[in-house]
Amino acid sequence: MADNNIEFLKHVRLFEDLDRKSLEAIANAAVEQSYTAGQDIVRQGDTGVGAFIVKKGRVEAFQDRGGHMHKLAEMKAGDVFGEMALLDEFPRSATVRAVEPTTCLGIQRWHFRGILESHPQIALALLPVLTKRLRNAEREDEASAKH
Amino acid sequence: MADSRIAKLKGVPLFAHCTNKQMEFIATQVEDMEFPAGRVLCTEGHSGGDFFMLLSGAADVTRNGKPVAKMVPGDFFGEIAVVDGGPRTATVTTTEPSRCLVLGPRQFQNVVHQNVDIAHSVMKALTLRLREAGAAKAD
Repeated sequence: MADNNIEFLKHVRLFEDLDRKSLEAIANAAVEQSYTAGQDIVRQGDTGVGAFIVKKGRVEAFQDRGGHMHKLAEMKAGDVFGEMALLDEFPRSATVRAVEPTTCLGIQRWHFRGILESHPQIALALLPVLTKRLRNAEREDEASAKH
Repeated sequence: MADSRIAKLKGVPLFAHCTNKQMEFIATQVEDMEFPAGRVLCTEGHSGGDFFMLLSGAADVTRNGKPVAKMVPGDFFGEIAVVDGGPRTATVTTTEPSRCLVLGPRQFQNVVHQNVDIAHSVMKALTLRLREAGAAKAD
């Protein structure tokens, strides 16, 4: 089972620069979990304990903005959510709900920490991925501030 | 002399979890520099450059001419451009005489290789900024 997860993780954008050994370590730490349609996978406000990768199915992210549920995104196989909880302990910024029967791979913060210690190359590979995302996010901010 | 350099590193939060042996190596990589007040250490838009850890003094961070943060001893900055060689996202200017430990891109890689806690702290700082960028968008 870990084997086919390695193949799957290879196609996850967050991990695209990782070598096979690193992917193997992540696949070994990942826990597969199934959700029924309508089930919450993470809830806004809860303390995040880790990241999820959608392996099968479809999920939607919602944010409660003063009582109004605002849909943020729809995610499918290969998409990652909650990944910032791998690094910090902030409350979840959104609720993610399964739209159809869904399977996710979950990676918990303390496992991720251990993986980084035994595979420092993962940290080195993820640093440029993070800087890229940050640059994109800040560029979008600036663009929307101009409107 | 090597001992005093290591003693200095011990006061840097980024290196808090390093062993003495790792500190000894890091001491060979960092440059200890002093700057007068008003010195521009990074310029928004300029490509690449060094990573700074503030030992003493203070610095202002501005973006598009607007203040976004103040750096105090123990803070670090320049982590984005040092990782990807891209343009600086902000301008950092000392507001008082300041002392910094400075790492070039190559030295930064060497140091991050030493201890994963360093990479972890830098990743955490990046994540925090990502959250801030996301929060701004949600408003």
